[in-house]
Amino acid sequence: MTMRNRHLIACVTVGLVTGFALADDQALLVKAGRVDLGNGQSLENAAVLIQDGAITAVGPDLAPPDGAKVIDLPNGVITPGLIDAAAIIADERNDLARAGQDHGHVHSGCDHESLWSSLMGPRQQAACCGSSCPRVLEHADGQPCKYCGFPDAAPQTTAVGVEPWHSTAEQSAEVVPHLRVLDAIDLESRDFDRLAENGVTTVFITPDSASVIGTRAAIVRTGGPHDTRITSPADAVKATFGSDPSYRGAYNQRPWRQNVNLYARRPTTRMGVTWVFRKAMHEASARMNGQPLTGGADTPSDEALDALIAVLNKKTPLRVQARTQFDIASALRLTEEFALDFTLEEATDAYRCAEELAARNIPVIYGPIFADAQGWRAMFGEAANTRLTTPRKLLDRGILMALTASEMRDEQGLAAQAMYSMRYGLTYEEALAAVTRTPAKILGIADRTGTLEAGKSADLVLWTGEPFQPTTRPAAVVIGGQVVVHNK
Amino acid sequence: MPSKWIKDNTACKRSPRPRSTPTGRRTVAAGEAGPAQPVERNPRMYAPRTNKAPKGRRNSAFASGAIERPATPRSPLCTFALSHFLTLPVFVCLCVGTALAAPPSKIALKGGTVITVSGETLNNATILVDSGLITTVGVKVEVPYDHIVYDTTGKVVFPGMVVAHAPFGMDQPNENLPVTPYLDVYDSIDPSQRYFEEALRDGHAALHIIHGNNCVIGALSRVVRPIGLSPEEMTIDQGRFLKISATPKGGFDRMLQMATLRETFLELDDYLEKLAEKKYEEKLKEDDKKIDVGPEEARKRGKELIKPEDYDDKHARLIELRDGPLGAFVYCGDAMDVGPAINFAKEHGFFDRTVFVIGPECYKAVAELRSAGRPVVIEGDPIYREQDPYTGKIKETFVPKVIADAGLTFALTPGTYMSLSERYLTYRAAQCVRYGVPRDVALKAITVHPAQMLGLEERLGSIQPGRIANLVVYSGDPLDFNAWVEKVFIDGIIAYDRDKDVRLKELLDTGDTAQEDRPVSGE
Repeated sequence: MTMRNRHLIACVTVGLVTGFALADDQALLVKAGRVDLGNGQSLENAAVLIQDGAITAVGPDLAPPDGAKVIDLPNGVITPGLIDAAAIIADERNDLARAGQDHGHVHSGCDHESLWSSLMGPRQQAACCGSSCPRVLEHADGQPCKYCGFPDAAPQTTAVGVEPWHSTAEQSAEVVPHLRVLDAIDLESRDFDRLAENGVTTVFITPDSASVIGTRAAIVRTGGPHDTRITSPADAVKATFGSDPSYRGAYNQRPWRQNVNLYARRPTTRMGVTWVFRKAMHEASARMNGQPLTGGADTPSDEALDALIAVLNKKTPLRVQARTQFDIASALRLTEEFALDFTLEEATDAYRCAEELAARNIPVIYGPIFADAQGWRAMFGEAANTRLTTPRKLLDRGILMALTASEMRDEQGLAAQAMYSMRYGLTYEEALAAVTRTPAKILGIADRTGTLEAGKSADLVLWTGEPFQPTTRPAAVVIGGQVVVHNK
Repeated sequence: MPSKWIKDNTACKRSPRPRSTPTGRRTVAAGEAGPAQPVERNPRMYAPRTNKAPKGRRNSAFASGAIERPATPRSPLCTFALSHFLTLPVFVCLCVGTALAAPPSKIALKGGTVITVSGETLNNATILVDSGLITTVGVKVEVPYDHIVYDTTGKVVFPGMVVAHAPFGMDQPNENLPVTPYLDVYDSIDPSQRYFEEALRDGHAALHIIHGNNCVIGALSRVVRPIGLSPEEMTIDQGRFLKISATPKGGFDRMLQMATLRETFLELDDYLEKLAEKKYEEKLKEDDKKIDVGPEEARKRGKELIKPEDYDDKHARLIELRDGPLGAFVYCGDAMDVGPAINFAKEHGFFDRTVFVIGPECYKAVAELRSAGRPVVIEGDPIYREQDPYTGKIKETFVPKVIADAGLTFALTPGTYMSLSERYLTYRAAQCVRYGVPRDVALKAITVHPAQMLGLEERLGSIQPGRIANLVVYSGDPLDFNAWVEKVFIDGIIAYDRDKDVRLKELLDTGDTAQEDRPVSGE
């Protein structure tokens, strides 16, 4: 992504001036009142020296070489760039929609905020203002709905369904691990800019949960030099247990409204979902061992089988999304049958089975933190038993835990998730690790990012004060040595 | 209920409630015959309620039966609340009404940091409270023997916060009909709603319950405390403000909105003329005379005969809005609504009693707001995002900073209680500090300034002798997100204690007790 020039509106802007361009051999020195390296160490009045996109030195009393650009904030704090290990990347239409927040402004028509509406999911809330449009949940901010023309403000969209543009839900089959989510991602999307402004420098783009065994994820940086943005183009395969694959199928409409009709084909219950997973792994295992396939319905394609064989051989990691305890139990059971390791995502009920997860050394990507589920989490009904202190409990059980903001941004973004986790029991160092060094380790990129050490990629955030507090925000964000965000 | 705890403050000089039933119809006293003819009504203002859904965006698919409300999943707090509401009335029955033990009337909060807001921040200070009012605030204060002492060493005491605009806690925030000044939110306030519980938990001690933004002229509002079993018990101040919206109501456009506003007052003038004529005719009938003058003269003579009890509720309220003492909270959702709202308020005499409730886009009208000089409530998300139609770039503006820099008195409002951060007024103040608003201005925006706008600065919003003892005890600085509300005092009574907050404990408990842990099934 090229650096974006943005307007500076004197004294009012939240958004920013461009990062500035550095000459190829120009060094950058970022100084602050404190540097938190991300490995437990903290240095007072220190600086980070950057050259050629990498950190060359960290410490106090660093003299900038000749011609170096200096950013100095005496009251500021430098941390490693934040890493979101399960980010859902919004498509262009969702740019102005604040995902999952503030239902008070959902309906311009009826201002609904009664007790009843607090119990309703977004579907009912949106419908109660009179729109009977079947795509009511996709009424994006300021955009006329292409079905009913109704300009409404939705808290977020459950997005996708079967639209061919900007969709990461491939629904032509339930098992598609041979596809790459990166092919559906617009790296110029403003969502990446927004993430960068929130201090997030690397994201694991998690595939859509509409498929039982979905596409392969991608790890990308949210800014910086174009040629260094993609860290891993085809990473883990994501499988989903729970309502999502069957619920999302229920949105598919009759053929005359959609391009593709899968209404008859999707698994409609968890019985179908676990069956599809198990059958796919069984067929892949059979192919791997040179045995004939069982065949019949739900047999994955040959390409899918090849991709699954790589998973069985542990060449490709496996990511599993499961929210409820019994879905986590299904995941544990089925992966044990095929001797698979995996990383657990969402994991709302993880506090109920923390011992089992610890026993199998399952890392957990936990988040977003909420008390009342909103958006599709409310609709699917799987997030009703959430607890605010789950991150604390997972850490106490020795589980490798990273925080994620998922589709949330800004006031509910990854820095805010760290803020919440501290309020509900984590120390600052634990919260910082959960958004820097731990996700780097889980994603297998700890050698190049996640902490501020010489030799690693220059991905860092300079905060205006104490990080993860409501009174502070990023003053500067550096990705790959490039100053992507610089707020004055 | 012990009346010493609840002060009945009738702000309006009108006769009290028995004048009209809650539905707004005029009462007929016992023995008196009803009116001989049906009262003539403007059919548009008093459109009879039918089951037909109104046109426009607000077609209620539920009302017409088109969509069934399916069963919905419930959050843990809601489930807990609904199933245990009767057995765990932790908040609702707290302060008054129990015959068991009267709450202590004299208390002292000793030894904490006290942020008075109106004055200096004091360290190691003591607050004395008697009969619901603060009597003393100071550093070297001797606590009288008969005061119950609460030890607040190491804590921070902050005034109970004031929410200047809260269209919540009601049956529904908006009425279907566009012009309803005869309505009163008193009829709609539901003390059992979760909104009040969450407000108490967050230290919001005074809530201005007001009609929503989806109206032309809405109901009379009321300032309540978040505890109490009935709207009477909850009331801090009876209705002083009508809600007006310059932004069109659902289904209206701006032409119709402004026309409806103007027509309301034109109809008022028309009504007064007809009333004057009628009074003169009645007088003539009494004196057994025939009508002897033309309509102009009859109106002039009849005008002097009009008494306040002759007005019906709708026109009485409009007259009180125009001539005082009622004021208006005028909602301007977009920048283009600010100018018309200011002009309309000036034209009809209530500008000096107007507070503007602004949506975030109104930062563009800050020049008009500044020259108007009226206080402003910033509603909703304080960050305004707009997208350039050509380049697609997003520009973000932090609205309170623009308003603060213009020197306007402003109040902040919390977000929904479903957001773990935006639910707190202190979080809104922290956001202001984040974007460069001075800390003391941000703190005032959640305490004294909203109290001022409501005309209650003598009673609410600061810690000073004479104020109502609404106090929030924090575990740390209010703008520190790691600080918790530990105790909330309302009228000098401890209305919330975090140690006894069963519902919050449930959310924070991951069940390390035997009955919560379940073995993983699936074999």
